[in-house]
Amino acid sequence: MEDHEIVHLFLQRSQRAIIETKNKYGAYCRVIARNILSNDSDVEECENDTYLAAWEAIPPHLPRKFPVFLGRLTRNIALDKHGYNTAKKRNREFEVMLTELEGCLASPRTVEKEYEAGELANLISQFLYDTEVRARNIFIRRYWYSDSIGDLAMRFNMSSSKVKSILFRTRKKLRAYLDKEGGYL
Amino acid sequence: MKREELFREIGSIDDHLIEAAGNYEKAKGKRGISKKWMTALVACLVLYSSTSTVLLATEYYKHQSKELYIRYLTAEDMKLEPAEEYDAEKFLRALKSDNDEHVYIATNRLVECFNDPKLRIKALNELKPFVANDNQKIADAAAFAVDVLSKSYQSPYIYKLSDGSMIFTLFNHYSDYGSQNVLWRIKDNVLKVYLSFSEPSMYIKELIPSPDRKLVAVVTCSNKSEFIEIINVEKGRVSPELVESARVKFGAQNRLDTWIRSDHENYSFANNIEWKDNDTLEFEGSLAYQDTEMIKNVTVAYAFSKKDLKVTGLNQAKNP
Repeated sequence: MEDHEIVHLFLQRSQRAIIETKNKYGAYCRVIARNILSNDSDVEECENDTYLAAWEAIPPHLPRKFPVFLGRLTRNIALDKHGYNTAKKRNREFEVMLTELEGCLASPRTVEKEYEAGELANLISQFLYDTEVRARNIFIRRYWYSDSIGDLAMRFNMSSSKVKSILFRTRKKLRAYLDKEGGYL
Repeated sequence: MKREELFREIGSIDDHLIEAAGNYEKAKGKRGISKKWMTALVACLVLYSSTSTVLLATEYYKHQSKELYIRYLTAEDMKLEPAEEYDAEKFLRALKSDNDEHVYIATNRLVECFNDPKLRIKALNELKPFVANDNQKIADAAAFAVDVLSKSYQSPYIYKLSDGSMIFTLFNHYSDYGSQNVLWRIKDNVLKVYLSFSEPSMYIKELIPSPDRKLVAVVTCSNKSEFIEIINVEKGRVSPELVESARVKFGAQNRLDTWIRSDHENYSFANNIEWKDNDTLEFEGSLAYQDTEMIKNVTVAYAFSKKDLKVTGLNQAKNP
């Protein structure tokens, strides 16, 4: 079933919308959730919460890109669950990924600037559009899809150390870019 | 800003970017084998795999009957047939022996006739005269055996539990240290061994039921150590051994040198064992460290349902 047909089912408040979403994007949502959470039951719960969130969001929201919309919901729900879990239960691989992002944050001595919701995301988007395609995709696969370094190495046909080095350089450039654009972080 | 907030913000980047990265093919640009060759290769592999599997399976079944396969060796397997069976007649004969030790052992072992109605009556009749035996140990053992076999269950050594079953030991206080290290249970009028202990739990020193009779603290010992386990007989759950657990925990809390010996003797003891409520057992422990060079007196409390062990020092000033 095409994405616009599934969205149409949501708009009609048809229960089939959930079934069709699960059939087409269940595995996709689970992969995103599993990259953030370590517990299988949490992943399953996160997937179901995603369908519920989509059901509540459409209408009035009308997603332009349905898989991105679902992935974003899954990602946010999984992140909430990750925060709720105790340190012992957390996905270590994801913790490593979050630690990497600390490199983009300002030092505690600097004064943080308040920002509007979505404003920072727009800046990051601008930065990524200006970044070389391969480095951009590696960055997004790492920090949006939460892919592991091993998966990235396989996907982009390069060594793990090369992936780490590209990510390091991109994070460094992002930090500089955001500093230049107004000291956001 | 927190790293989680940055991660969430990255989640809101432009849809096109996410979609493009999502569609980025795995190992793009990597030279691979053409589809045609890949299909041929897979077909060959499938053919080879299925042929070899069939051949291996055939060989396996051919030799299956010849293969020696033992999944688990039980003590009974090791003895080979005919297995040793309980021989009531042997013990009935032993009652007529002049050897007091044999008579004492036979008296206790005849309780095992309980599940056979004919043997039970026979053993009961044979044992009754021994209740008045000059040897106090034999007389006590006979009184206990008669109590069980006659199903009157009046002996203080029989512990009646909340589920209607009863537990007891045989060879009660045969030694200064305690009774035989086997726990028997009568449930639904059937006698069975419930639990037996191995060295260093050589004797059952004491059975202490909880006030509601759902749990039983079993105190076992050797000539060097004491051990306590709590059993929920009905549900078949057993706590960790508490004296050694307390010793290890207290040792870790106070950075004491806590070795576990290969013979599992801990040279530690428990006193004033009592149930504080239906779930919590408390006792004073005398815990040995550094090959008994150091003795620490502690209070131990164990909550069975929470699996919570608390060990606190007692009169530490007295200890060097």
